[in-house]
Amino acid sequence: MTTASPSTPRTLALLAAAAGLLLTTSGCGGPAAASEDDTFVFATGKDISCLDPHVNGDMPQASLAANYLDSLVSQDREGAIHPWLATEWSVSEDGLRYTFTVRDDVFFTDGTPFTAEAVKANLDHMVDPDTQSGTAGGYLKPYVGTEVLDERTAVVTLNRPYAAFLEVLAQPFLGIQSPEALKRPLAENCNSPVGTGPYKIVDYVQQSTVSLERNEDYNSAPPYAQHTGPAHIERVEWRIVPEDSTRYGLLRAGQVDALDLMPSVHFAEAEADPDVELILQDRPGNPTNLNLNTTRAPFDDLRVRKAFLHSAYVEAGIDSVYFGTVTPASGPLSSATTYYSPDFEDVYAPDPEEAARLLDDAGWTERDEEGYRVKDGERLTLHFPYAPNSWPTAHQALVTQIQATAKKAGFEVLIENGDLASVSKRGNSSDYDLRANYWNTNTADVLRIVFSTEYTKSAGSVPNGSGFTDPELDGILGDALASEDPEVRADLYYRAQQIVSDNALQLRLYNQASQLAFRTDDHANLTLEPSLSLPYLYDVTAVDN
Amino acid sequence: MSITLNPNSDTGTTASAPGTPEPPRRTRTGAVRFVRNTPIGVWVAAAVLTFLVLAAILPSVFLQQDPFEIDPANAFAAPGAGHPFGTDQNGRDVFSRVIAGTGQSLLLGLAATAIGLLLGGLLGITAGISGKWVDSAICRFVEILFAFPGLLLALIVIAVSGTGVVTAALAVGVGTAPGYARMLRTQTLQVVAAPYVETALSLGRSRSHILWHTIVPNVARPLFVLVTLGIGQAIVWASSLSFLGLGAQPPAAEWGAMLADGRNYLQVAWWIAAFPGIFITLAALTTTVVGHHLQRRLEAEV
Repeated sequence: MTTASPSTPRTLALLAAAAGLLLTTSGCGGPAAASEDDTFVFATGKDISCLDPHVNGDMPQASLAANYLDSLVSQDREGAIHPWLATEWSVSEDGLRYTFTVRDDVFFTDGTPFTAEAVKANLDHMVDPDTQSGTAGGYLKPYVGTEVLDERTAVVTLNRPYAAFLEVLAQPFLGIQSPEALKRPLAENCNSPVGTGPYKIVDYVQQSTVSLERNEDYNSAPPYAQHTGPAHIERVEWRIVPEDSTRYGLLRAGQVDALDLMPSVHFAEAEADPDVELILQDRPGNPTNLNLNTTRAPFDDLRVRKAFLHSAYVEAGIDSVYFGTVTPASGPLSSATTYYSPDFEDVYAPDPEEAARLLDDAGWTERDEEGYRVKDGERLTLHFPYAPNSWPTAHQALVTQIQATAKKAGFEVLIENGDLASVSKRGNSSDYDLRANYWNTNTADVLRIVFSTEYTKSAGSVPNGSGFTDPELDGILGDALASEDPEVRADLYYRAQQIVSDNALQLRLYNQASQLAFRTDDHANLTLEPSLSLPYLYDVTAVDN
Repeated sequence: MSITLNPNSDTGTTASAPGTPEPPRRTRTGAVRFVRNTPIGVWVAAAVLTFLVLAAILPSVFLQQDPFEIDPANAFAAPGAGHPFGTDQNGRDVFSRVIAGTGQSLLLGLAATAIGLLLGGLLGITAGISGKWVDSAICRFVEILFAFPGLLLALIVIAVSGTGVVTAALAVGVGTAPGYARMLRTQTLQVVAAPYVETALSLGRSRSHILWHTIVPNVARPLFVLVTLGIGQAIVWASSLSFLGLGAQPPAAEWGAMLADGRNYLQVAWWIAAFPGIFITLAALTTTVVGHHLQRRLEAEV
């Protein structure tokens, strides 16, 4: 990291000699001698359970995957699908057969050639119950199988039309991994997944650091990339720093080059720093929310659910703890999603009187000495298992505020703090009344994943956290997938949003957003990959200063 | 354990003022000796501790605001009029929360110490009076427990029985039990070997009578000191568990939990974390200072 600007050739020579000396001394510990400029340090705010994004499927996995995996197809900012590892494809009349023609000049970083066989191995891996894939496996529910016609041709069969199939294939969650690597035990592949991407994983210390090195033979950049061939930066250090203030402190001190989950409380300071750039982008999908579990009392009663939504003052909370750094959202779809309708935003505005009326109506008429509502001697209690370490500090404050406002309406919200594993376990066994959740995906089909009957069960985490089942909604969402006509789809998705809103299934909080902070004094050109707006390091360049 | 007849030879005594011409009269000796033999630091500690205990028993005397009342529009207000310790990220009054948390934090410390003493006492006294293989078995068991750092032992309890205030007290209690067991075993051994136990035996008293009327009271005597010393440690441990999100649950006004809440706002609103932190320090420090003083006095009297 040279900061001086050499004025004469002699100083330049001296500096070069000094640098050479530095290199030889610092080179004995590391694998290859290089200046620090060739390492990009990224600090991520949420722990990564398993590096392989097929397993479970949480956002931190996808962020990393966008930098070492390629996908079959790619999506641009406008939502259009373009070739990537697949050069072309065709869809049968009935929408059930997709024939992909894939590239024959791409190699995985373990040396395995990429072929049509790899497409089959990957899709089979995602739907395998042993992979416990909530996200990728969830997206592939209509998947029947893949037939490999030759090295370059794979035919994927679905059991029903699935208009969003190519869109989800473009997500890093469904990135293509080496079929040889996938043959290893799950735990091993979790620690060292292998792709065809611009970087390869060379080391992983759990809860600490993932080290990546440039793929020198990279020749399969997606259309949204700004260059082709190998990445500009030689090494990437992907550090896991869940503590908000620590992560931000590292960036301010110049010890990391970029971070995600930028803490709201420091936005103003970061904006004022000329060396720091904020990269902000709302994500499509189902906004950050609390699922209301409809499968058990008291939320099996629609009136109680509506009363809870009317009791919460979400926007006031967002203003106070997020300082306006997120967009409030109360409709079923994030405003960044195609077919989003604003008509459902203010349906459950704060209204204590309406909440009281609904609760009286539902029979929760008495109050106990602590002010909580009571029916048949039982208190109106909501169990809320919560993993504070998996959420931003501001989110923790927000749920405390919701707890306080719900109390005024007579709800006792028990925030039960736990580690991620025990909270997830309760989430998957429907052992909760409230569950903090969100679902990022690049299509309105997210409604089917988050609210339809078939997603009340899953090998991994259960996407339909409200446990809501409604044949009419299932039918509408199925029809929307079978149609290619945008007007028909718009109408169907509008009706779906209506049903979801009428049933008061979630307390929506704010749109999910990519919020990155990036130091511009050493590097330039950190971008977001378009499908889920994830940090994309391939085009990053070093800046001389 | 020196036997002292001269009151001025107490450890830590600095109270014999040089300019005092007249020695205190015999009738006033007790009170004056007590005041003179108590260093100023102990008085300060005792005063702070009294305040904390008062705040724990009668928080309403000190509270001006509801510690759970949120006011998002007034979040992150700096200390000043109306909010002497400022407000937190939810606009709650930090002073009220710190005061409201005194009860829970002190109670957690007390309960944890009581559990630790009970478990440790059971093990230690049993070992001390049983002898032979029961003693060795208990000693080996306690040594195994000693292999784990206390806080780790507490975390194991939490992992098994879940989070919450009750489990936190139990966890810290279990974590401190091995230490108490070892101390009480040694104490029991000394008492058992004392001549008065032999006397009681030769008088034909039953074993259980001797246990309850002779051994336990004599073992229990130094416990008071152990308790005051232990509470300070237990408060810190219980706060640590809450800090890790394993003790008190939101919106509880528990010092450790408040410290955890405030740590990410240190750069913009130091007061959210600083005041609960100061109170944890004060509680631990004052109980320890008072405990040490009592210990010295007791040792001097024996």
